[in-house]
Amino acid sequence: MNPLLSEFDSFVRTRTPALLRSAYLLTGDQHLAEDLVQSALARTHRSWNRLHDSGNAEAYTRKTMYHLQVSWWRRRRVAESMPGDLPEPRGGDSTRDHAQQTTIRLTLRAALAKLSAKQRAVLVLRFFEDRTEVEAAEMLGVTAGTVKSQTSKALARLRRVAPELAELYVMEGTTR
Amino acid sequence: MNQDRLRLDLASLADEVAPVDLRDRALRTSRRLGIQRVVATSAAALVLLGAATGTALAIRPNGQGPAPSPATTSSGPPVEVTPTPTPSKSPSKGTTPSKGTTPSKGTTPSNTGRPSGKQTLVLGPDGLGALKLGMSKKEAAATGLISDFQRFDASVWPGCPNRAEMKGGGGAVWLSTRLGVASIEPRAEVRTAEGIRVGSPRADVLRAYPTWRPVDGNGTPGEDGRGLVPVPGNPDAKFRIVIQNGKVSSVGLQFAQQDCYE
Repeated sequence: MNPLLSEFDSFVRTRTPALLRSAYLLTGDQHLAEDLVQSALARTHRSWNRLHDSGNAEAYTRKTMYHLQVSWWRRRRVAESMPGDLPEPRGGDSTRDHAQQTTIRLTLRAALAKLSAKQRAVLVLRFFEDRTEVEAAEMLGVTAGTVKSQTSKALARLRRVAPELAELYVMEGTTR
Repeated sequence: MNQDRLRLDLASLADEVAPVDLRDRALRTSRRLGIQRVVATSAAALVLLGAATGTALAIRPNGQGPAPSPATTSSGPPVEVTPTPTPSKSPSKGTTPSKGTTPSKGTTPSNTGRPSGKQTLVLGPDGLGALKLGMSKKEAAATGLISDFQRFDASVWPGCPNRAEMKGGGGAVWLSTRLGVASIEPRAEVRTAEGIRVGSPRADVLRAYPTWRPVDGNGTPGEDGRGLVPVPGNPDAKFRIVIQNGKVSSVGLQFAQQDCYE
């Protein structure tokens, strides 16, 4: 009975889980991820009249999310270092059992926290959302060249801050 | 680095997040954003008012005798204020302010505000051709420029229940209950009086409307996004200019205060 509202509702309900996953990788924190998605959805709602028949509401929401994250980060400039005792990664096993998987996750999370917001954003866009350089550039409002250079910087930094991770990746990559 | 491995690990990391329902929170934030927008606009108005008053006060002690008439630009002879703060006259010229104050705007070769015989219509300052901001539904329909208004669900923007397509090149016209025609956004070949049209590069936009900034993102003029700029000759309206990939992707004319979107 309220076609637009229910459209927005169903948009929110169907897309939030996926948005949260990206936001979690961008922020590294459940609450920050929720805040980010909530803000992006609110802005989507403000523009819903314009968006709903263009069919790319989700693109708008994602774009807003990435922009907000980069600008929030700039404003706050807090190093979201992951506190706590991260277990030492145990390399060498050829089977990635559950414990090892957990370790890798923690290490990756801590390593991501040491990247800039832009570097994180390009990694998430390129390797989590599987976007092309051009698509990622469009999303971030930068050139494809910037995406390319930020990506290689991000990967280099990952290798530097988490050599154990890099070793693991490389090792597995070569045995493949 | 093995990027497939990285893909898998990112996906596995993303699994950590707990799904939550954000609908209500998003709607609350949306409402708050709406309120902020109103507050910001009134604050801007206050600042303008303050600036105007300040200018008047600043000039006052100079002019010895009589009260300086604040409204007119060609003020009394003894005053030697060079920077005229009036925004409308502004640009280029470079020359020292001549006394004569001929009212000729001159300079801009582009137009005189009326469609110049060519195909391209001029958008602004108060409408597009016969179609004007503030028209009632009937008046707008009578122009023959738009198709019938369609009822548009008003749950998100209750004050703005109607929207029509433009004939010809397409585009949208929004009708607010309170304001009448609140926004005109043609898709057809039109340009603003300052020469901006779909396809104009960013540099042209910034030359014509130096205050253009994207409202989302970081608000720097080098970014893509949508920005609202004043319409020369119509203080009640704004141009809504969207830039994508460095070029204008849409130009609309709307009331500065409208209740149809954003």
